[in-house]
Amino acid sequence: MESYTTITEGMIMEGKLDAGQSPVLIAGHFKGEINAIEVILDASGMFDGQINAAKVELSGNFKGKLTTEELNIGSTAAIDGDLKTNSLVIELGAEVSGTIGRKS
Amino acid sequence: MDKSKAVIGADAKFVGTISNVKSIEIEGVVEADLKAEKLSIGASGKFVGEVNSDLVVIGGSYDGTMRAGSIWATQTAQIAGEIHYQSLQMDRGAALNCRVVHNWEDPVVAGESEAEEPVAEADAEPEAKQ
Repeated sequence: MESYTTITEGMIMEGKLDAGQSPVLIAGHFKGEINAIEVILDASGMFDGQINAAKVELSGNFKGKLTTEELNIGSTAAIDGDLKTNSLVIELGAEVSGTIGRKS
Repeated sequence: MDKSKAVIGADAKFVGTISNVKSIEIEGVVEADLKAEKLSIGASGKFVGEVNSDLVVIGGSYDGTMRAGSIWATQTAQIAGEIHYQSLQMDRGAALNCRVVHNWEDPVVAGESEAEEPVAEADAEPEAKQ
């Protein structure tokens, strides 16, 4: 089984996370930089900073920069930032502002 | 995938600060200062930094200053630095290369001043009778 890195609701992490092959689930608050294979920002999650990942799912509050191959934005997401992706899905209801471009 | 349990995964490395967490499991590498009710460092886990916790289970490696109520070092544990404890359990094989300090003082509990008052009254009474 994959070994998840989980930031629970209410928990605050600030710094740099190099998660390698461990997918990251954020239900709490993360400020800083994440490099991972997969990042999931839960509806209760808050992120402020930069994400580099192969696959990203955003359902929470995101602010910052994001570079990913595959991006899925859920209906509960609130996003303000610079998104770079090659594949994008935005569900109805998501609040997205900022710039969206292809990952070079 | 359980989002109610805080975990740093086996392949992950985190440098920074962690706060506002009750219970956390470290399977990866962490450089941080941590205050929690329960900390568990798994066999593959490595933790560097200051720890304040009621209960700590160490199966991996630790370096830093730890203040804990109970510490359980399992057979794969490697501990460096300094540990302050109320109760300590060590399994055969656990490697301790550290300063070990038993904390004689009672653990600091919220509302400590309230608890002290009845004790002072109890001491005063027998004296009055004499």
